[in-house]
Amino acid sequence: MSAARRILLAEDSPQDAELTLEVFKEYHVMNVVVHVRDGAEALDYLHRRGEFAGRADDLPALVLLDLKMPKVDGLDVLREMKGDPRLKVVPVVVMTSSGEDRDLRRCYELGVNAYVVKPVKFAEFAEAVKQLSTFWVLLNEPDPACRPRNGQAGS
Amino acid sequence: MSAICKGADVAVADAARLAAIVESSDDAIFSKDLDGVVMSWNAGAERMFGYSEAEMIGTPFLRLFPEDRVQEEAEILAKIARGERVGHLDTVRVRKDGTLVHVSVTASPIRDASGRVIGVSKVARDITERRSMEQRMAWLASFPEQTPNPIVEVDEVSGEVQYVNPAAEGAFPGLAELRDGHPLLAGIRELVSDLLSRRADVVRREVAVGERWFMQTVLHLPEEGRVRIYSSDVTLRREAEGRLRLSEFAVENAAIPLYLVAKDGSILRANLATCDMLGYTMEELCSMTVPDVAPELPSDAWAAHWEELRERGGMRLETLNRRKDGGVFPVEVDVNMIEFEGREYNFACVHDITERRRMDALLMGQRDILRKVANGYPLSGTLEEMMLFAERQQAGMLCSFLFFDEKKGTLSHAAAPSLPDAYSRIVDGISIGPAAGSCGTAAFRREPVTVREIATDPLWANYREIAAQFGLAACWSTPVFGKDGDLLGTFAMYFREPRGPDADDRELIEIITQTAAVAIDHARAGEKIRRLNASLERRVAHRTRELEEANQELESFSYSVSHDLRAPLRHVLGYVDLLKRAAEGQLSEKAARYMETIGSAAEHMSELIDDLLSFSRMGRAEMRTDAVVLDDLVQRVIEVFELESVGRKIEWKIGPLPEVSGDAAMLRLVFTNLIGNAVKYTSTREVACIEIGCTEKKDGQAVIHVRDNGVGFDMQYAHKLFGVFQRLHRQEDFQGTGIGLATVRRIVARHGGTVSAEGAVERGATFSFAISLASPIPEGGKGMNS
Repeated sequence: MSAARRILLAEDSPQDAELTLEVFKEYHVMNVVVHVRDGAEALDYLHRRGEFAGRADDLPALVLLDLKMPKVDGLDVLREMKGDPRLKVVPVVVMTSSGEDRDLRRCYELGVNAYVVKPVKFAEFAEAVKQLSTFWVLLNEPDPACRPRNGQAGS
Repeated sequence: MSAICKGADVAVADAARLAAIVESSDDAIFSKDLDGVVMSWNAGAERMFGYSEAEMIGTPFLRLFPEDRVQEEAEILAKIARGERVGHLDTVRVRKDGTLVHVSVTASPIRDASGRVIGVSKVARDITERRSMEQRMAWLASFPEQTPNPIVEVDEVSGEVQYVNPAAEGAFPGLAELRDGHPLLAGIRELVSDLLSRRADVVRREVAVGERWFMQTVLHLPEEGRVRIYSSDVTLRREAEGRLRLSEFAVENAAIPLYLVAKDGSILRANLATCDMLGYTMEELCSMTVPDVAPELPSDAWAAHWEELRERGGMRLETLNRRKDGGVFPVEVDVNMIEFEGREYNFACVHDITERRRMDALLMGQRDILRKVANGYPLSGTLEEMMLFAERQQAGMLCSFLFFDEKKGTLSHAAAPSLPDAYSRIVDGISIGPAAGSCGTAAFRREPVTVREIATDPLWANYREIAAQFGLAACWSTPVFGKDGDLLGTFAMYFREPRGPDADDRELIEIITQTAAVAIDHARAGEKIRRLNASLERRVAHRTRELEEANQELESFSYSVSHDLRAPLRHVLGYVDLLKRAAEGQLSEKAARYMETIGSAAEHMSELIDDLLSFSRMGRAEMRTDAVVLDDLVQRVIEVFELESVGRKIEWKIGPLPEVSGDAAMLRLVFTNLIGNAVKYTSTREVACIEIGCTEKKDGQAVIHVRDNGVGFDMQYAHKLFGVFQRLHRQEDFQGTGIGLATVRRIVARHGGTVSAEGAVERGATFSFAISLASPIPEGGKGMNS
């Protein structure tokens, strides 16, 4: 597995983002974490448009998606990804504060790959993030389309 | 032939003459000597006794005596021997042929010249005929004496009683003394003088003596100068006749028409009521037959009708009768077959049911209309039907109904199916007033107005020409009032001929106006209810919308809470952790404790938020009711707590638990809270004892309890147990949010049950709740839940 595979973190809260990134740092996750602050940025990144227009043509190994975000929320991002023939193969894990049945149901209906309620206690939160990235990035075999292309990796 | 010789010539001549007399006599003349030997025997004796002279001369006479009278001869001979005469002895002798002959015998002594008795001369006369005459007389005389009927004879002049037979003597003691002072003889002399003046011999009369009645035949016997009165007791006959006359009178005058009919259908008897009903005289009726007056029973059907009657013995039938004037009317007839002295008759009671039929028709019509009213048939249609119904009851009548508009003071068209439309249009909207035709005036006066003749009535002065144009001659109008007494409208009957109402018309008006009032009241009440309902529905819809909005707000509020309240907490905890790591070894002990406190406060707040969200969810979440096997559910809850309370000693007592009807997830939360509390509040006990059981099962409900031996609570605060954020223990003693039991109560309430708590300080607590048992499930289906 290439160490250069990216994780896209869509999180509007700078604190949550910082705490998440702290965890990645602590556990020495090798992947590049791209942080976007709302759904619109996430879609721009995925579609390589706007400020991401010139980036390399590859798909992230995992999308960590918050649900409640300004402009375009997590559900819209999920809906668009799972409705897009190219993007639908990318694993999406929703990480949110809400454990409401309503949100769970809608996410699974849209085809989410996992749904995690962010634990309040930091230790548990850190453990959850660690296990998620370990599983989805290291253990899980992605769709062939998600594999990094030779020559472009690490560029 | 023999002769008595005297020995002298003159005597000879006398003797010859005497002999001739003797020979020619019809009497038996014979003589005997004193020994009774026959010496002479004339032709009369020969005829009387059958013996010839030759047979008798020289033989004893004794053989002519019947055996029982043999001593008579000795007595006669003894008397004669003494020179005495035996005169007119009536006795009996025996003829030669053995038959008896009644004779009257005279015997005289025969003396010789010296005067010595030498024989007896006897003359016997046949008295058979005289005797039978006498017997007849005696027999006749016994009639008045032996008859049980009183016979009295009185002097025609003095009235003195001359004869009273034994029957009269017995029945009327003192009759002779009272004479015509006795009721039996009252007025007898007047009666006789009347008889005399009429040259009549006999008269009959009836007299009363006390309680009894006598029929008398008064016979005048002019030769006797007497009046004979034969009486016979006719009391019984008179009583019987009296009764008969009374029944006759009763039948004749009975209020119910009756008649007696013979087998051929002829009317034998009728009464006055029958005559009245049919318009025939009694004479006419009694010469008619039933088929003459019963058009549904023609003569050729009579025989079959009679047979049916005979078979059934009697019956009640409804048919028609025809009056003399040809009018036909409905009758109900009760007929009985009766047999009298070997003949069959039928006896009929007839009831004229014209009136009943009319009332039936009226009430049926009213009922039909009221049924339509009750079924919500439109008012205009109901009124129209009512008018048509009224018109059917009275030929030539045209009905109309007008509504009253109180604000405008006018009448408006409601229903007038048979009046010309043009006329109805003219009437529509007329103002009421003191002389505004029949309806306008009736509405104005609030009382019925009867106009018999529109052409001359001043009330119609302004409308006369219009009425004439449409050929309306009479109009009676009646105001119709609602149950609150307000005027609803007017009901009018129009006629094309001048006329006034009779009793039937008034009855019809009464029925129509009452029914119309009910119909209008009902329709208005219905309209009011519809209006109220519509406004109620609007209000309900409005409230529902408000509630939905409030619910939605609450939901989005809860959603926000779950998201937005938890995030800052997570951040506090996260950064506290980061800070601890960053400042490791640089923090004072005090500062480190502050950090801990910040962390645990934030954690507690997080628990509060979680419980509050759960509590709120329990109120809103949709319930999925299923049969829930509590044994399994409780077991799984306990397993969780056993993991969490490793190191503690807990004795579980779990009784058999029923299968209940409810939402499994919610019930799990109930047990999680109750068992969690029991575990928590027994933490100070060396051995905790927690019991879960079912105490009571009735009316389809089970009462489940969770009991512990923990610290318990003071019953005076029991009412606070189930309130949100209500706690009976300090946080440092037992941690908690104060929401668990509120959630339990909410869930149990949503299952239609109640929850209660019992306890004492340091002596444990018992929480009980009632819940519906699962409805019995067929054997095959039970496995699915286990």
